[in-house]
Amino acid sequence: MNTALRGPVVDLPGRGGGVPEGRPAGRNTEKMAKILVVDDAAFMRLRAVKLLAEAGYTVIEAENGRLAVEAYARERPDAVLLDITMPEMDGLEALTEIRKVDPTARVAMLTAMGQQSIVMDAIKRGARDFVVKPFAPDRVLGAVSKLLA
Amino acid sequence: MSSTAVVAPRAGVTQLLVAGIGEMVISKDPKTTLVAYGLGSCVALAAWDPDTTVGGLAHFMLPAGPPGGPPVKFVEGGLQAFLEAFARHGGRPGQARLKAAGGAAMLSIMSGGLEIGRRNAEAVAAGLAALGLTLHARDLGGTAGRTVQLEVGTGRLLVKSVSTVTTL
Amino acid sequence: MLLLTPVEETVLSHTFAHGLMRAGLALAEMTGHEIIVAAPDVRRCSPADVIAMAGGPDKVVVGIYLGIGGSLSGHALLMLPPDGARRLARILLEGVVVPAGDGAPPGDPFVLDPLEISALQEVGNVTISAFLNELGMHLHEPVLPSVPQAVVEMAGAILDAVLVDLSLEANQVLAARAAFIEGYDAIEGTLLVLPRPESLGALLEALGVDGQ
Repeated sequence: MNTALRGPVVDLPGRGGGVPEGRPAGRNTEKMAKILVVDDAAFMRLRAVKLLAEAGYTVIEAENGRLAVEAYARERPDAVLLDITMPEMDGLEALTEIRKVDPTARVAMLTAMGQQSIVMDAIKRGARDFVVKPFAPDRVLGAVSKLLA
Repeated sequence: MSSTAVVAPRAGVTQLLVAGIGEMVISKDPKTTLVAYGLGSCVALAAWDPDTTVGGLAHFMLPAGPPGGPPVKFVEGGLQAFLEAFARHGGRPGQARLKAAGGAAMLSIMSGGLEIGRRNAEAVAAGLAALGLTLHARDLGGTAGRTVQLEVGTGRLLVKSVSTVTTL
Repeated sequence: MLLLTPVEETVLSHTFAHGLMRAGLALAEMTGHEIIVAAPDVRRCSPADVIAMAGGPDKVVVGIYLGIGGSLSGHALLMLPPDGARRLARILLEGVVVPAGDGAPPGDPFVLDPLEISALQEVGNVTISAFLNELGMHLHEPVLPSVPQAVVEMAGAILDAVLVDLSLEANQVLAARAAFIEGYDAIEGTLLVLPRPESLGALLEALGVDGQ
């Protein structure tokens, strides 16, 4: 039974719920893929963590680009979901920095910003996918599957 | 409750005069309350002459700027205009109780959002000092919005925030 | 200086109205509820008028603010009445967190807990970004929203610094506004976008009306 691993970031102010433990959805011997979720909104991280953990992934979090790069270097996740608009270091910069740490890093952007120039910029910097919020859960799970494929 | 109700003025008071953004109001009717609502970075200056019972309230927006716009948009020029109007109604700036409230910083994420309130407060203090006047009381700065009410009859100045009411 | 010609104003209004509809769609998708976008409107008005649009200077609202930068500059605000904001936060948090205590009273709607604030900030982020994305479609360089900030405050106090920022050299501001109505939970909100008129050049050019 996997527990969602929390990164060194925000103590989510719970309202009693917190994050459910991840259940390996039918798989039993595979190493659980580790996903790094990066978003400055605690609410978004909570949603993503819940969604991913219920799908059987191990999840770590970061609340800005700088912490994301540190978490990536330390934890070496299998894939990253990366917001763009964040304080301290935005997602595009973090993407570049993560790719410096690991040129094979598998990153999908998950952001409210959907302008063509931003999409192009992200792709040029090495993002493999670009999901615009608001997103349907399937879209995010699909993006993660694609990254891990 | 979806709006801050004006605290009921003392019995017998009937009229509310609102100093909108960039505006001033003056009255010598003791049954009047002067109000400036929702002060964020703006600063309201209240003047009250205890002997002639004249009250004035000015709602400043910015320290200084090019001419045009509402009467007390800028402290520079507006302060003078306010005190002159106060005097024309029988108020004596030199003998008046001068109190200022506002100058808060509501939106830290907005560029320049942290400074404008402080600059307004400084401009009012400096403008008064240049005229040889000082503030008797102040409730400036912070991160909460304020509504101020000056009762012309009594000189009582109430400062209301979403969560508190104080008499200044 | 607001130097828009009538043609420019018309075309801009049209574009902004599209943006407002997009914002409404984003809000609908995010909440999973139908949202009606009512009275999209773009007009020149005084700072006092803008405050009136927000419900009046002493109306306590939950305001989610985003600054606008990049190829457009200005400010945007999504405003909700406090009880509506709480209901909206509940919709978003449903299924994500277990509510504290069954049947516990909602508590003071003027005080939102950090997770409710985060959810509402994200609503503002997604809604306003949808508006900006629509505008950004026409531009080579992107329009960039700031990180969102939610406050529970009197509307006049929230709008002060924003209006003052737009008012140094002008006494009128350009305001794009729409009301959003979510019928099921009776949540109403107002989206206000206040662009800096001087920054509209690139957009006007892209729309083919610069100087007409």
